[in-house]
Amino acid sequence: MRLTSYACRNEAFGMIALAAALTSLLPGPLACAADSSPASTPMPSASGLLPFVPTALIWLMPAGLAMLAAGLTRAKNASHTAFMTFFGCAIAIIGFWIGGFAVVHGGSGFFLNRLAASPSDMASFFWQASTLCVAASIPVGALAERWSLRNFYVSVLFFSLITFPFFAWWTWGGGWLSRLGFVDSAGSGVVHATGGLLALAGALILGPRIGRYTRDGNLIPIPAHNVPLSLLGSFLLVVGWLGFNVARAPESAASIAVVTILAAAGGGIAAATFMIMTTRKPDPTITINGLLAGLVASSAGAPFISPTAAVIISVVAGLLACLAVQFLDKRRVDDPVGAISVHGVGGLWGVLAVGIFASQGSVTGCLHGGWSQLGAQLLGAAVLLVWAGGVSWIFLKTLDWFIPMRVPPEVELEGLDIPETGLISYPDFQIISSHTTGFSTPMPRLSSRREYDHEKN
Amino acid sequence: MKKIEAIIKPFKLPEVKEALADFGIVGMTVTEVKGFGRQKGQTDIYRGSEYSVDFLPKVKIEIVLQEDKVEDAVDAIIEAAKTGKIGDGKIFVLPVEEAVRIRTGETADAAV
Repeated sequence: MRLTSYACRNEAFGMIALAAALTSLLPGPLACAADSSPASTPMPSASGLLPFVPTALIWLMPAGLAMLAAGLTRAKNASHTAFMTFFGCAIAIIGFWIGGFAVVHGGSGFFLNRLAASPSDMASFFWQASTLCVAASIPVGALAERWSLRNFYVSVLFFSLITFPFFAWWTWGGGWLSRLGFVDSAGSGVVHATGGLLALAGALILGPRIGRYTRDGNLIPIPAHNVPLSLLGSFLLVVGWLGFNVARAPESAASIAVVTILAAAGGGIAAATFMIMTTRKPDPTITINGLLAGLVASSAGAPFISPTAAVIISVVAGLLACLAVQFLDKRRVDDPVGAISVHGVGGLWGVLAVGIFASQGSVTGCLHGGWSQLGAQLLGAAVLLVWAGGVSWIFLKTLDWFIPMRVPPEVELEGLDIPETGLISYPDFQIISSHTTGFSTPMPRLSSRREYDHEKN
Repeated sequence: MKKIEAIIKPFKLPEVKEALADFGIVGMTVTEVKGFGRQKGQTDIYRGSEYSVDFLPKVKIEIVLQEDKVEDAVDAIIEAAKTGKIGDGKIFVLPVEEAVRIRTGETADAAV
């Protein structure tokens, strides 16, 4: 009896969903949506499945980032790294529900209790919370293998209540940046640069992983433990990105999807070519970084750029990511997965690229005569650096006094899986650390004893 | 009784095993090991930074056999494991004091 009523309800739900899908496909609402340019509408259109489907796809992105980061770190930290991404999404959603949403919407809507029945509020909550989860997943990779969980919980809550929502309000919620003409459609800045710059601030505070540099400053590579897993993660990210870029402007889904896949390909090829020319081999992990940097840079302007512009933007982004990885390595900023280079540098470049290449709809870049647009984008990038970089640094530095950001050295050497999460990722395997494999800098080779930074202290 | 310890390139193991089986060996122990010799480590690049792997993977074969068979067994291993390039490995021959088959309690040559 109970079973049949359940089935009936399911059927009714199916009918409603089908009806919604059909309504959303009708020309009426479509024409309406196309009239209002995405630059001026703060939220995606609210009815039916049209905004739901691309937004749901966004959820492949945290999954992709989790697998990417877990694969690019060491086996002894794999569970910890993936769990941070996974659990960070839960904290971010609750944080956004408590207060983040209200910040984006000008101060009302704490706990979603304003206009709880309004479908457009629900649609924008769903979309913004989903993109927030992407942003919150970004620092995990850069700070992996040494970030303590207790500090992580509070940092993500801060990010979901303050860092992300304020910038989203200024850009998407009709705040001052958007009134000055700043445009960031899907979130090169709002999502990726905020996460990437928080990662930079965190990496500066945390310092490099133990064993990353010798005492005389030589860099010792700490190799990825599962490159195929990382490649799977980046494939998931590409699929999620289609939803990510389309969700803001579903009325031009097809052209945005084309721009998105072109950007992925352009960024990946640029990075692989760069690596082949400098080291003779297309390092897969750098190719992933280049591909993702291309995607990151495409997000701000996806509805406003031509396919050719998308390729140019992504090629530049891929090269920038390669250079940024090497620059940060030299500056002793340790980023195991390249998140700062991909999301921070790529995000800032994406924001600026709108001011250069935009040519469609109401947004025009400087190549098409819109110099004021470039000015607005430069302002937005500067605000990002100060807000997402500077304020995050101040917050993380303060929090570090109360809850240490870094795990103790013995935990870091043992691997964070057991001390922090109580689990080991691969119990049936003996984990051989790179120390016993004998990874070292090429010169001097086979030194009897390697000296590490932490031994100074 | 003598024990032969041969450290060889891992991809040469099937050929060496076959050569020893043809020769009449009835048992062997194989271990995955790491180390360096004249070949030293090997340099590569990860994320744009050079690194060297100081300990390269090798396979260690251990066989115990009657003294008169040692020379031919060593020749068989050399023939199968040789590539002519640096890093082919080494063979050591050691004396063995005693051998016991656990199931039957047989000792010495009968146990090998």
